[in-house]
Amino acid sequence: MRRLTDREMIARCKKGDREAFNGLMEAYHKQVFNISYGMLSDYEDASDAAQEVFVKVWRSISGFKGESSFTTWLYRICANVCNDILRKRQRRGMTVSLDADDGEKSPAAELPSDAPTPEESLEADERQRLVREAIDSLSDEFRTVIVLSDLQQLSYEEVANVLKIPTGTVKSRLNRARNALRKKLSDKRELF
Amino acid sequence: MDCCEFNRMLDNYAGLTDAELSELEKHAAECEACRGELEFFRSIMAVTAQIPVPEPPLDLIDKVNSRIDRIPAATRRLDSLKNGARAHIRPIMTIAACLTVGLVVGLNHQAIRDRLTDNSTDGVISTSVSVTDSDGKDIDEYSINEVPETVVEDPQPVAVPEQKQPAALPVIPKLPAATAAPAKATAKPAFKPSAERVTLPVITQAPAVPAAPAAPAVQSKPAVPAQPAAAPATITASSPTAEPEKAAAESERDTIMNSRYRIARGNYHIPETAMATAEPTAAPKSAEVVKEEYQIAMGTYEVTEEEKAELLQNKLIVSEADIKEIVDCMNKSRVRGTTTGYVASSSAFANFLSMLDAKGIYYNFIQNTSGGGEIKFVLLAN
Repeated sequence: MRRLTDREMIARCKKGDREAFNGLMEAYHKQVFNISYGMLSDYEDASDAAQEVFVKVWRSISGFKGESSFTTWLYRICANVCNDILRKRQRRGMTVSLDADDGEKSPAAELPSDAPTPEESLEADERQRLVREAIDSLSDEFRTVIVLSDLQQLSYEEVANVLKIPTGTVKSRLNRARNALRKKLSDKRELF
Repeated sequence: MDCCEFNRMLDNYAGLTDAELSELEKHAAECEACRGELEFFRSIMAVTAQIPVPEPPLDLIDKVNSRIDRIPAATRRLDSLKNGARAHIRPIMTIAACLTVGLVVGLNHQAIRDRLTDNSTDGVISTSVSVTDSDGKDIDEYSINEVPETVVEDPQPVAVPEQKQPAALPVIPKLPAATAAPAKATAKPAFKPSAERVTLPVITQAPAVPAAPAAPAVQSKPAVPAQPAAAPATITASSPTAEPEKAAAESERDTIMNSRYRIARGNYHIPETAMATAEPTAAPKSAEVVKEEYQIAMGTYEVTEEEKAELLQNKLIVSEADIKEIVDCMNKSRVRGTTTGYVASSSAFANFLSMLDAKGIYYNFIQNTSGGGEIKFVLLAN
């Protein structure tokens, strides 16, 4: 039994085929969650955001004309949903830290390290924590390009399509975002 | 290559060609300090790429299906109608819009010609389209995010709707600084692209409108509208916005120390007149070069009260290619145009953003102020 292509699944989704939609979710839920987590740094928020993204996709897929690729459209909705959540956080004056003690261990804190020794493991964890915090402190605009390009490993052209900006602007923002990270982490240089 | 050039190239890493990358690495092999810098930079990128992401919840897909199951059937039918109707409405409305524009332009030819030759404005007519159903209500009243309480038993097919309340919505609000750019350019601390760059203060705000130096507000279609159409036409031109008188250069200025406003890089439309007179040198420059200079402008600036108000505005930054669809969503979401931008109730604004999400339109909303139950913002095109 051959796996349906994305195009076939989308065509079936447009006719209300929930099985086909489940197939799309199976194929893309991890990427959507990864982008959401990259932008929001909070497991629950990322989970809510991913759900919201797919509900929006279901409700508007019949209007998807295929002018852009499905992933471009999907990631664009994801970026918008995450930016919405970030704006709501700002209005409430909330900040999120991976180290915040909310009385419950977040799954993120239980991630295993693959460093061979305890010391290296600690250093690797510390580097990741510092970079994660530095990314979280970036503006929404910079964080978005870093998450899409450096975390999600999308090409410059793909990021440009998602954000509907020229490729040159993607590179420019990425340069500025990376330079900002370098500056923020410069006093911890010895760990890198 | 010297170390200065190395650092300049490292700052522009994403834009390097293969040849430039080779030069960078060659210098790094010869210079210990630069090699350390390059390794530090690459190490950050490597750690970024390896930041672990937890597995998504096992019940994520089930939860999505539960939420979809809770959507009333009538809402699903409406969604389908909306999505399908848009495909039919757009070509019909486009034809109707073109015919009406032709009529309006023909009737107002002289007035338009006068505006186009008027150096105080940019001479572009902005238009807007308003679509309502037969009851004067917006077609897409439901928010994608909310389940409506009332169930529509028999939704009418959405064909060409009867327009009862065409709203005069300027595509882009007024351009307050367009004509004053020359005065501002000379009085303000100018952007210094090279060695004298000002050290950045702490920036926490998202990119704002480039108020300095001499940059007028970002807009894709400066508004010089004609009179509003008398008939319930699909196209109405917005009213000419009154340009406030700009204070003279020696007028009192408000200094914002430790400015929290960052000027964003982007593509700015600068009127011909402003470009011609805002240049610091006599040498004519291409539009692209002018834009490049105005794009990076960070630091502490003296600003007028008007500029300060401009910086404090809420901004919705979108792609220029999406303007028409965005105006369409505004009309449907009860987002109203004013002389200084747009305004909507909080719920209407949330509905508007949901529509943009559903259409897959990318936007960046920068909120600097909030006022009660209303959201006021300006629309900027990227």
